[in-house]
Amino acid sequence: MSNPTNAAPRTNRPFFRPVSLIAGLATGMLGLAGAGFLAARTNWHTEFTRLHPMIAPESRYQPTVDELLAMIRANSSPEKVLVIVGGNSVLYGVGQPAPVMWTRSLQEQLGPDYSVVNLALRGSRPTDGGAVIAEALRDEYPRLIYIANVPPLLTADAIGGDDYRFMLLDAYYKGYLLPWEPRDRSLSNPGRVAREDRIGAWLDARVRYRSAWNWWTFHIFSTVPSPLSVSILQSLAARGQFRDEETNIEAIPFSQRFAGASFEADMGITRAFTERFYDRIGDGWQMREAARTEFDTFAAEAFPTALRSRTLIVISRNSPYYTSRLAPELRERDEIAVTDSISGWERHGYEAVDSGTNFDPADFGDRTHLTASGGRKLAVNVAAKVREMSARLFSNTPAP
Amino acid sequence: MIFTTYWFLALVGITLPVYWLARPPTVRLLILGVSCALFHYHFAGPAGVAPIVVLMGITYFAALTRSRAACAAAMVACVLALGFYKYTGFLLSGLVSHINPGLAEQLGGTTSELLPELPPLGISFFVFEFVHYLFEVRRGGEPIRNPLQFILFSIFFPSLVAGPIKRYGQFLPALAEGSRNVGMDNVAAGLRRVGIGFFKKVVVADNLTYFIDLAQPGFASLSIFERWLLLTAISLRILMDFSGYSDIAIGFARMLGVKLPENFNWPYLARNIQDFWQRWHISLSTWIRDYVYIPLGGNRHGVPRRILNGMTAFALCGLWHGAAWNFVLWGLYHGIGLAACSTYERIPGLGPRLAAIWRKEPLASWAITQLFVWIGWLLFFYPVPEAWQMTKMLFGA
Repeated sequence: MSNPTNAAPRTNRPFFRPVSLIAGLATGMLGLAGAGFLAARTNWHTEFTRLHPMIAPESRYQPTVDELLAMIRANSSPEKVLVIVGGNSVLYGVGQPAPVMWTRSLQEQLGPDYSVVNLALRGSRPTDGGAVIAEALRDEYPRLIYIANVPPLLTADAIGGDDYRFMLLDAYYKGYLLPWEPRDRSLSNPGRVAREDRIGAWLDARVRYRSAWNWWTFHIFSTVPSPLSVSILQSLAARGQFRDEETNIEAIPFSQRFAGASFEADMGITRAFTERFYDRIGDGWQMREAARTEFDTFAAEAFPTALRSRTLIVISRNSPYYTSRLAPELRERDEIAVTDSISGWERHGYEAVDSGTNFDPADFGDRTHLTASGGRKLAVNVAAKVREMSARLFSNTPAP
Repeated sequence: MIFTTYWFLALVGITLPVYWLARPPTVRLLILGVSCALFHYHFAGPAGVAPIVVLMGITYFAALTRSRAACAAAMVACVLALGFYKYTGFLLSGLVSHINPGLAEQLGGTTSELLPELPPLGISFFVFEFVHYLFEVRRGGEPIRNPLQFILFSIFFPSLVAGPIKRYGQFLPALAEGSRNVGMDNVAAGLRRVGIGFFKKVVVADNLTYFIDLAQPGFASLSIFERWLLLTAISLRILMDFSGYSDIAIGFARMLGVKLPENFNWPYLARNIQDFWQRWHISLSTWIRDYVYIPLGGNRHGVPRRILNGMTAFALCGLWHGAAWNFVLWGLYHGIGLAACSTYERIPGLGPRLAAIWRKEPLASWAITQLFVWIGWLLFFYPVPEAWQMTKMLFGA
């Protein structure tokens, strides 16, 4: 019988040998980076209509700049004038199902020499999302126009909102953006952008893990549940399974659209729409100096100078259902604000256009969002300006 | 979670290779010391570091004197600091305001100027480790003379935020061993553990948290089955979250060659409450046993005193988890469970019969234990009236 004290001590044999484990880990990390770089060059949004909620941050999906660039490259020839639509839910087309969304009408209005891509995001600022993509494609698509919307004289953070800043950081660290001092200063300010967000974007620019992750989420299953889904299984389902299922606001009878408790709240917003920008002086309105300074600062910092002439700002208006109920002097103030906004943006080198005065109450689904019929009118109004810009900017620009 | 921040991963990504490449143990310990200080300063900030440095100084020098009075005074200072930073608000709003609202308001105004927005990072862990150290030195243990060793015992970054609570008698030899002999097997074992921890924390616990937050507000509208499913999710979430964190801490320490004490040992397999507390947050439960329960008299003075000591220890255990009444009640709930578990066999007639059933039907003892523990989590996570309503609804009320 052997003496147990002389026996070698029993140790738990690891499943993998240490060297194999570490080599496997390193290979896995490198492999994931390789997959990320491959995914970053691949277009998987083959049925893209717009950034519907299941492929947008509302469902905790953060599209990378690379995947949107790949989508545009696959669908739009550089020989055409590329029209990238950014802006908020109004230009997204909330209330307009994909087949009748306003950017389809815009495409029809502009014709085959143009390629319209809707990258608007709900609740975004003019410098969010679509603006980043437009800037990233400035050389590849020399004939490019970017469209965003904003209410009259409203300003925003030049580095966009918190929800969509990931896209700006993504493009910034991947080197897609022009040097632009006001923006660069804000992005490197720890008080403005969390250090973690910056390190994450910097790191991803080198390894492209997010591209691999998004590819997986889109095709296989989502490791991050969507808060928009009703069941657990659905919340983890591959995002590619979901279609653009925007509800049709036109299906709601007109008599019900503006009824209920929200009417008074919306009426209050409409009354105060431009209140903080003006003082009543005698029978007229005078813009407050602070409002002018705030607007000028935003307009001066929002976009690099070189991109402004190809940036079209659409000045959004409220539904006439509400504005028709305003006192005449408040309507007058709103009109002045639209005019001041357009001249203000133009003064800083941008193009700007009124969203239109030819809307009926039935063209709106609520205070701000357009129905399909309203979208068609918007498309006509915007198309005229886009054609004018295109003729002026690109008549001497040969297609690549 | 600190462990999932890029900053932390960058720190680890730099510290580990430098530590491995530096061969002399002293150099390795110096590298680790710098890394730990950077970690602490980055995540706690100057306001969070300052009180800990003061407590470290008090603890270090008090222990060096080996004076029982100095150690006792230092322990009191540590406990007072914990009470001040973590429990002032609770004491004022949960206790003093009921007795003397005017005084509570007055004290609240004064303390709000002194207290930082958040308690110093990891103060509960610091205080528990310092008290343990001072207690052991006071009992005749050898103090740590080397300042670097003491600093590393205090702010060893893998265990700084959420434990396991270290014992210096085990930690220092493990640290010395790690600094001398860290090898590929340590690194591989640590990596495996870190991987398991991240999976538990990021994949399981964080996603469960999301579902719980989504479903819990509508608890009343769920079917009975769904309510039990939610309770399962709540129970699984805390285990995966906490044990995942411990795994990551233990794993990173192991990659430095340092073996930290285990914190969890399949607690949801426990077949009685005593067994559960030998498997759940082991470093805390053993600390409470050694430095609260036993000094109070433990089980040396008869059953009533034992129960009282147990209840006191568990009320403190509950309070340690958070400064609110529901945590105290959760602790007392477990204290009652433990008292029942350790005394029911003495009930004439019923006790031995019950004990025989549990022995014969281990599945039944497991089920009743887990039912007790899982329902207890409602008390842990939700205000008492809400937890009570949820408990009733689990049974169809």
